[in-house]
Amino acid sequence: MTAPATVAIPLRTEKKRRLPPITISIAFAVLAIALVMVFFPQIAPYDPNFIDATAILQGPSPAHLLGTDQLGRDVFSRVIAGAGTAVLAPLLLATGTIVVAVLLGLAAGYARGWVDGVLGRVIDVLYAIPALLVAIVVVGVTGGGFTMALGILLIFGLPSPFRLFRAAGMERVNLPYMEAARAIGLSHLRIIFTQLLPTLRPLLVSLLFLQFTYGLIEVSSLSFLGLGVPPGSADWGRMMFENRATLSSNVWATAAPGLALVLLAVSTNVIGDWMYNSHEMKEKHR
Amino acid sequence: MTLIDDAPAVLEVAGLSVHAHRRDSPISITDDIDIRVAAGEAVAIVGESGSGKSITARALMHLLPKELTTEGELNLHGRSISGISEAAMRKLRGTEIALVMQDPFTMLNPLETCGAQLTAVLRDENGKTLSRAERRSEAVRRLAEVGITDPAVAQRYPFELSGGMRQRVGIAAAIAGKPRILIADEPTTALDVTTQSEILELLHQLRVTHGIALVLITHDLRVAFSVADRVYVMYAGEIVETARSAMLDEAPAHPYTANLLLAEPPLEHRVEKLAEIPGSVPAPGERPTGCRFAPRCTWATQECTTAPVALTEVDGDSSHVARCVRIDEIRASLSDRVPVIAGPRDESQDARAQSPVITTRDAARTFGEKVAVVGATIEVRPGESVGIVGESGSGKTTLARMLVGLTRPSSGSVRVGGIELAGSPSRAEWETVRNTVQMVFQDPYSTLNPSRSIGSTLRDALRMVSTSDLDNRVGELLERVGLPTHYARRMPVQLSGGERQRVSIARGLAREPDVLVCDEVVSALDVSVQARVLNLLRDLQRDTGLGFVFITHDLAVVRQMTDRVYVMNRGVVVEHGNTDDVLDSPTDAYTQRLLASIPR
Repeated sequence: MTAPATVAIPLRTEKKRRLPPITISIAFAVLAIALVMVFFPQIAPYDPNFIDATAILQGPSPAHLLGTDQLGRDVFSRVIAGAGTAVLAPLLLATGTIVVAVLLGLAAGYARGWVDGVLGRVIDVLYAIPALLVAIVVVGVTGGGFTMALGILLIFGLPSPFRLFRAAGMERVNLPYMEAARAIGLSHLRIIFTQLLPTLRPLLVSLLFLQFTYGLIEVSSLSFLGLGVPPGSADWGRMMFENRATLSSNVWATAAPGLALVLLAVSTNVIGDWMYNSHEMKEKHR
Repeated sequence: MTLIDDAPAVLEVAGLSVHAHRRDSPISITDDIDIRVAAGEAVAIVGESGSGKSITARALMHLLPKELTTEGELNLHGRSISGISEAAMRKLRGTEIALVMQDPFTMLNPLETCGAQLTAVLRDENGKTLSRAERRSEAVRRLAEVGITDPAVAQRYPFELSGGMRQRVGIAAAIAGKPRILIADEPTTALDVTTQSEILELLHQLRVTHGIALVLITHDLRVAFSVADRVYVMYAGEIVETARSAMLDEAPAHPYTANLLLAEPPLEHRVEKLAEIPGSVPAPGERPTGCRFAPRCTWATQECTTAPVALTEVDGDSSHVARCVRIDEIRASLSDRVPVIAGPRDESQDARAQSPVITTRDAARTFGEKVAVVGATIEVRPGESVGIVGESGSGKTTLARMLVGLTRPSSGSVRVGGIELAGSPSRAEWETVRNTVQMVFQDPYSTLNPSRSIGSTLRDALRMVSTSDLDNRVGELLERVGLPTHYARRMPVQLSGGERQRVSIARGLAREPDVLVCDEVVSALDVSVQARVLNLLRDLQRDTGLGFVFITHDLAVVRQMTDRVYVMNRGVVVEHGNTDDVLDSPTDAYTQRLLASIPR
């Protein structure tokens, strides 16, 4: 920066909990590996659904790095194949939740009045009902499948991000630069999209990662309960569900997808946190 | 008050330097500060933002954050306190040396009564806490010391008190332990001018009655002169000049001091052009090697930039030193630089004859129970500059917001460009209003959207007129407010306060309005920067016939900038007329009090 502005020397400095660079590097590495598995599932040594009746419930070996499950399918290949739903479904869910939450939240926070009242009460009702429970009941009873499960999780995932964006909208709506935009004659929609939304960028990015983590756990929980993805799919939650009975024969058939789940969830969380912090530092560093 | 040079010093600072540690190399924030305060003396440390004056004040109290390290000798009554432990320093704070903070709104604990905060540290001879009755009478006695005679105040919470009252309570707390030195860091900056004069008077009284030496930190030379015996002028982390107040006022020896005095808008008369200081204060780590003021100094030559400059005596007067190598050479030309007093205003202007652009009739605004504007009737004619002056709570900002339609009147009439804003104007009528009047806001740090570049902010405004040739028009707009066109690509954080305010003015000009409403546009800026923004606005008025509504608390700014003025108090216009008439011979008691409160 070639800023002629004065460098603010803080009179009160706040100690910030900062993650060591190594943690962040590992988080990015995990995410990169997950993405490779999503886009190049052909790196798997076996067809994930190939049933080898001669090699059932084997432990790890050079032929099968993580052993095989009760149908003789290669666990390592199935973990790679499972990355697809593990990444894409939560990503879809997170994006959808945020888009809807931004629209509703900013509308409520910017307009206030009856819009805020109606939206706020609806969201309060949603907040009171546990999402997973509704998903289990509805999907279980109707047999609605994966799309319906995602839809339900999306709607019930709205309350927290909605409140966040409503608060952000309320906080910013009376700032001088917003008033200046009104004084200059910009329409309300323009103000929301060109003035308000850009200031939310750090929030959006970090929230995307956070919602991704939530989504990953929720979608996997559904799969683990046997809902959502069809039986036999190479899905991490589903794999843990199907192999838990044979835990003593090949522990990796259950542990590997579980570990993959934990690693991905922690990594995305760390990355989101880091992105928010680094953006915040940039804003503060005048 | 006279200074006795050989009176024992209660506070002596020698070679005080403060460093910050960024990554590998230390960055010096202040260098080699020498300050001497005699018993009962009042000194002021004056400087613009970035000069290091607040850091110095905190260093004296050992109150710097851990990230900053200090060097140098600090002596209290001849006893060194440089390296003493935090525990030992804590014993001295309050009893030997005390600090009054700038912001009366945050320095008191909002959850405790004023009385409790005044007596919290008190112990009797045996180290026991005092009884409830003793504490109460002690609190009342202390409040009386700072001029609060109502004993009920001790039972009140800080938020129930005005800013001036809170500052008094803060001072009472600071002097509770009978310190011999009181450091006041911008104690009146957040206060109205009438309250300011009361607090300054109180500080003066305390020196007389308690014999407390005062170290006043301020950005305002006038305030410093009115209170202090001697003044230290700081610039970019070092002291550039020290002298007795009267001497500094009459014959400043350092170009920076001289410029600062000239940049201050005078209250008594209108000047042709306010003196500006080009450039801005260099940030720590970017300071030049020679004289730090040299890049902004009109007298600078080769010799100024080669080596660091030492403080030297001026005219053999040991109490007057300045950090300038060319003191003797430029002495004469420094004192030559007097502002040209403007002639009488051009009364032949046909503005009076033209019909007004803005008229309000008994425009009132209430917020729930609170009445912000009781009923204001004002007029603004084309090309005219009108001031609305008042203290905080006078309703001047609410009135300004009504003029641009950001706040709607509860009753009465506000007509802008022929459109009645009290009704419900149509979309087309709003367009007319926006093309007639635009606003510039007070705070340079929140007036621009931090996530958008200067260019996109200005394009938003220009697009309301037409969508063609936006980039060139952004460039023209920036040039009109004296900024280079490549600033369009910059983000607000990369701009200084004055530059942001100029961008904000550019945005106001984008729709080519007839009148620009300026709400305290310079109150957050340093004096030298303020002068530049005020000159810009005056040029705009002269060159393009732009009209102004100037909302301000500063009567000197009103004198410089306006043709007519409305004085507001508690939501009512108490006096109005030609600016010179009102300021020279005010008829309303409130206006008279306002004028009398200004330090000079």
